[in-house]
Amino acid sequence: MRISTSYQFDTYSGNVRSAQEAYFKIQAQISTGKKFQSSSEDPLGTRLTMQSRQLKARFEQFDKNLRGAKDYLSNSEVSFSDVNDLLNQANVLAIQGASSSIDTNTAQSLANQVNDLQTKLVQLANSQGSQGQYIFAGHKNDAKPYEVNAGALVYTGDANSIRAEVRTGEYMEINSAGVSTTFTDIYETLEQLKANLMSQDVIKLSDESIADIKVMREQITTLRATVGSRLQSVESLSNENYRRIDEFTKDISDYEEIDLADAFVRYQQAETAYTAAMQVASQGMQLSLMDFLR
Amino acid sequence: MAGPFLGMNMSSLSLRNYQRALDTIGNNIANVNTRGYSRQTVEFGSMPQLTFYSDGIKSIGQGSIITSINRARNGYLDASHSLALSSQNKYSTQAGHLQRIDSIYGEPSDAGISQALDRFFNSWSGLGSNPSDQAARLEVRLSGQVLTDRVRNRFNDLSTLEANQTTEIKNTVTQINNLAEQIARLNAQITTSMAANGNANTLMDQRDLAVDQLSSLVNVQRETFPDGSYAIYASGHTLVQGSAARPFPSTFDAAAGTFTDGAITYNIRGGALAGHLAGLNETQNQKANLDQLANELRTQVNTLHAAGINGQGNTGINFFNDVAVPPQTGAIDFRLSDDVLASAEAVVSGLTGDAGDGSIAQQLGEMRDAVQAGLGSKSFSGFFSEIVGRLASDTNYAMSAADTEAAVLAQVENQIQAVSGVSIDDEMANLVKMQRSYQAAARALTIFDEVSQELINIIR
Repeated sequence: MRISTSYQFDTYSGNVRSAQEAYFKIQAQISTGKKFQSSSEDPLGTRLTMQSRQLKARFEQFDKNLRGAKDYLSNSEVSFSDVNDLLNQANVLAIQGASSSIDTNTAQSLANQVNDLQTKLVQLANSQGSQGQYIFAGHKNDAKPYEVNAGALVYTGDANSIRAEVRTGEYMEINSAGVSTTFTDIYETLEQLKANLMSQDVIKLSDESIADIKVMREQITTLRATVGSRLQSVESLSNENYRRIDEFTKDISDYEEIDLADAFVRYQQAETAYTAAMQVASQGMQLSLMDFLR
Repeated sequence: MAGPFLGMNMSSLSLRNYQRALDTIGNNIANVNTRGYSRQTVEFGSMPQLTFYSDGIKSIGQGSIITSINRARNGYLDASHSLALSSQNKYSTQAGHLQRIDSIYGEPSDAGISQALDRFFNSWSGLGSNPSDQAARLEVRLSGQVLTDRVRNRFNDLSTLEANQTTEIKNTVTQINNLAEQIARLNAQITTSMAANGNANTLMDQRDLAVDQLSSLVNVQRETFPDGSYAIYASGHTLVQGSAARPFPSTFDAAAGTFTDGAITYNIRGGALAGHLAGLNETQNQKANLDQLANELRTQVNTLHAAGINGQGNTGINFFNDVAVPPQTGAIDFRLSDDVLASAEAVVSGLTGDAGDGSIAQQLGEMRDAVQAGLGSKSFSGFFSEIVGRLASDTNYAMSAADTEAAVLAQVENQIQAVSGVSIDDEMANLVKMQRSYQAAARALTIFDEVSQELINIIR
């Protein structure tokens, strides 16, 4: 083929230009750390990374939800454990009262102690979470749910459950819905205990009160166990979340980010190609028939 | 009759011819960097023979003449060049527009619509899981604001792009008309020049250059007439005929990729004009997509949101602004409702309005995966990532098509250069050849001069 002068020079500059482009592209990849600068450079990678980003964001949200759930459940657990202690104390008081040797003053003192326990119970039933919500109030958790009225504990909350989304479309109950009857029953039991102490009714104390307290303790133990097992699943879900989030982060980095070692090798190659193109051009440009004519 | 000065005549003729040939080579070298220049060659021919009688009729040559000064040009390559220019410019222009749209979306990133959609639905899951958390309620409002802002801003950016693309199309039509007038004017000059001098090489180079420029704007066909003039057809429209230029139509339809003058519709298949039309069409489609997304968000989120009671005890509250259903206004004024803008307390989390009720928020959180009939049975994120994915593939395709066409164009240009381009080495060799020829002719003249000197001396 006939080679015209401008073709010759255009080819040199074209070769240098394309080598330069490749050189700068890999430079941009290394300096940004990204495989592609826009989605059109890698349509498939874009879709995959968008999916991973979406799932990662979702699991990060689940993690936040779990942290909220953990807060709720730990607060419940602390309250239940306090109620359990309180029932143990009531049990001790009932046993003391049931011994036939107590006098009226002692009975009165024991009854007063039961009264203190009742006050404590109301406080525990009205426990608040870290956002100031009443954790044993169901959905109506913005108002104090338990009030003492005429010797009975009255509940003004509801029995609805509060659920946290822990996996897509999967929920965990975090508020021990329906716990109110246990609290009112305990209050009732303590009220009975108080009355029996006052009347120094040894038979009722040993037959009814101690038995009632036992039933109540069992109920609280069941509630604690439920909350405890939920806390455990929160823990294991959290751990799984971290693992999944790490996986998605790795996926995103695989799709989006360059392998530096590989990039440096390609950088060297591009540099060599660029240098070679310039070398060829500089030598070719100098050749001319004119230099050989005299 | 053989005169004594035949040889001197021949020699002086040769000297003139070689002088012309040297001038032509000089002109080629001078134009080595002129765009569209075709190298010229001098064709020599023999003078008519002179017959004489010498033991029968004999004939002798009388030297050479310049028969023509040719323009090295291949008409077939010119047509291929036009076609390659049109295709390459179509795809590169289209790729440029698609890349601009692509960069408006800027996916994948933490500042795009898809991230805002994820964050929006996740924030509802957060509120549903912890309805008494004030921070979760604020996050719902904030993420809603981020989502509406991003959709609205992308839409506005697309509108600006759309206006620019429309202007570019109009400018391209103006350029086409200017080139048409230039070609018509050159047609007239070439016809006149050829009738008078038989040669219009420079004007023809200029005209071919103008046709090349026109080919990069729109797909062009040319027809050559015996008088040397071109007829130019742009996308089927007769743009130039003889010395007359007919203006290109100005009414266009981006979706169909056509121009019309009212009577006839022209399909634009190549050149920057086709690329601009495709780009404008894509911009308009993307605007429609964002409208669809915004309106579906309004319908679905508002329907659930308005069913609940918020912390202020109100029901029927919209989350996104929604003036009239239908028609909804699309992405251009996509915002939060005035109630929600005024206070995060207006955000509904549950059906009953109780502080711990997160039922509505949970349903809204689950909406992230729910398929919507209004989005072609895709979820919100699915719909958007499909938009981005398809745009990325289309852009990628246009870019690689532009690269392929550029390679084809380079190939054709190489072939044209091989025929028409000036090579300094070639010209140098020719220069030396003509110089030697000139020297030989001058030498011959000296000999003839000496011979005639002898003759004159005999007579004296």
